[in-house]
Amino acid sequence: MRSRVPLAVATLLVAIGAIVTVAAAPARTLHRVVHGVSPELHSIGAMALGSRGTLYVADPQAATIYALDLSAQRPGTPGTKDILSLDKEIAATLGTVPAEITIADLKVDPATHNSYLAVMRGQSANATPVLVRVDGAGKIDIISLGGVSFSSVSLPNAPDANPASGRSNRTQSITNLAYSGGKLYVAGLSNEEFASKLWSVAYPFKEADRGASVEIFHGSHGQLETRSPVYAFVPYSVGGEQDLIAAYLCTPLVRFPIASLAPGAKVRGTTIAELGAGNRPIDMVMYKRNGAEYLLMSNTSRGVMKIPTKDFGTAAGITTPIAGTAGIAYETVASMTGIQQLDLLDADHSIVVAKNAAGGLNLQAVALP
Amino acid sequence: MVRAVPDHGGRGESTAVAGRYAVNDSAIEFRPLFPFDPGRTYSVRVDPRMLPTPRNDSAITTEIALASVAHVPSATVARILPSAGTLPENQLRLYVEFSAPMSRQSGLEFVHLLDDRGNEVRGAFLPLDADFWNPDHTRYTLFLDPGRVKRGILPNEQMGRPLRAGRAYTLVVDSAWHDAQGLPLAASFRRSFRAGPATTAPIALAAWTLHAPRAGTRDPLVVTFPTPLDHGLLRRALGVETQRGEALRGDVSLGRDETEWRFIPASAWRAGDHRLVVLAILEDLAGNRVGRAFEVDRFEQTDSTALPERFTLPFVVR
Repeated sequence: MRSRVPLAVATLLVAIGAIVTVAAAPARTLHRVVHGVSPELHSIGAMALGSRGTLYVADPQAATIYALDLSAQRPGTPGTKDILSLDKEIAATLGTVPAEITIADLKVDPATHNSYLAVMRGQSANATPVLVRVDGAGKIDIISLGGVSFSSVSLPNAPDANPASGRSNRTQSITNLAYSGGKLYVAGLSNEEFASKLWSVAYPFKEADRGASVEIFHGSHGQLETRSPVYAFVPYSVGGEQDLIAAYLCTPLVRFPIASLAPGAKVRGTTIAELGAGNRPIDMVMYKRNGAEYLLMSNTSRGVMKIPTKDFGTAAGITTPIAGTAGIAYETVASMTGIQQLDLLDADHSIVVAKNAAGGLNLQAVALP
Repeated sequence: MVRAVPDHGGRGESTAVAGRYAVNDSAIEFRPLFPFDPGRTYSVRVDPRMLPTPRNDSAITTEIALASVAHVPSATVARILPSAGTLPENQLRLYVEFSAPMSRQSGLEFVHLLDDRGNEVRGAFLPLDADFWNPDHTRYTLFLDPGRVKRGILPNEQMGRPLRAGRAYTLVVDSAWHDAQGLPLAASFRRSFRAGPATTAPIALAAWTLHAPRAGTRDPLVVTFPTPLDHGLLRRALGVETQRGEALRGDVSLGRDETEWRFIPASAWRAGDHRLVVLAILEDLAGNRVGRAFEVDRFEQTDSTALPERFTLPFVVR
């Protein structure tokens, strides 16, 4: 039956008046492990995939790492599909424009080959975190965290000799997460102290486990020992030894054994390569091609580097001045440009978020070089 | 279907805004998953044929423009730290303080370091997308590229330090930088300084002077340093405790171009032994710490254990 009431143009329940003032990040206790349902993130940054459908997500604003159990989510179509103008599509879905969103990280679920994207919606201090999934049909889903089981662990508190002196201006960004051998490794940068600390904690998170915070130093050409934050890293094993290959802010590529990451230890990494000036690593993945293993690393200004790992275990540390880039040689992958995010899809492909000719971002599966 | 219209106009993206629709007898309600942006235009298309009870009317399309919150730029750069007129050529970071909260944008494209001829010093700052704001987005940390600052690192060998002792520089902050309301700054900002010799020695606590206050007063404890220390870290790396280890509450202020730290206790000083607590995270302008320079020579001879987390300097209140 036809209604006789004229159809009004949609009533927009405009939430303008309620430009939400997101609660300030909670005051952090010394060490806090929470298990619960429906996590409320303040921000979203680096991610890592663990075993059994666990997605680790950093909330840098709250200095907290969440382990999200996504196994009860309605699955997407398995596989992946390239999305042209991914930034426009995500922005439109979120009711805004590309300039108002930031894609902080990309991780591919190895079981489903769906991509997870960590997105911040908005550029104001009240920006909202959003977890987005792209499935094999190219469908962009916003993953609601309502009903999602989680456990979370807070990072160690920043030291403060005078906590009553007023609000601290310190913040901590989390630049990289990796899960390896039952442990989660976390690298971050402070807006104040120039520390070189890597923090690790076992998963499942336990109240008693405060994690280990380790100072990571590296040598330089001139017999100097310096500290610098680790920016990106990837777990790597050679000859039965578990290592981390880490890229520092001041560009050295450094190897150190995971076994050395004991609480309170000062670890000296072996500088195996230097990657040049004006550059910052973004993502690192390991893959095999024709029986040889390679590290693929995307960078802000030096493209994507393909570095053979066969000499990682034996390379002598760089301790003498060498002009130009030094240490293990790498090849710049000419076919991969404008890469902003990089992860492995399968044995032969990576998935990237790459700048397109129009200045936007595409999600693409790309053959490994 | 509701769609966001791009800033440059046009017909809007084809992708619908995520949200929930509810249909009753007189209206369709759309509740977006995220609040609509102030100042943005949304396109609304209603196709009666798609209703639960389809109608044969033709589709209606209209645009709804939402009001902006503010129009007049008002945020400004309040100051740039360190305060001193001469900075060491191995200066590690600068703080840009604003009068109001800023957007989450990375600041790099809005900040320019000019040499004494007005030419931009390229690649001076670390190309980071990480968020180096304080919690309320009023202070931005700018790192001079440590690879160029530190000796013996490849970028330093190739390009040298961004600052050269003896030369004058101007840091320019463009007004195009957006505040938290999406508005540009009310004005651009310029700050001039000179570069001096590199600071390569560790912070030496022995060179500090403590002026102990008198018992029964709330006079400040005044600590002076021979060279400036990092403004951000000074506020939380120093504290006062009693001999029994009880932390005193009080207000901290900094002065004399960050060579002076003053502490006024919440309640009057009691006579007796006290300690100034110095956390090991404290750095000077070039990243040197207590007992440990930013760059340590003789790599092979350094300790394999981490340094202590704090140091103390005793003083007596009489």
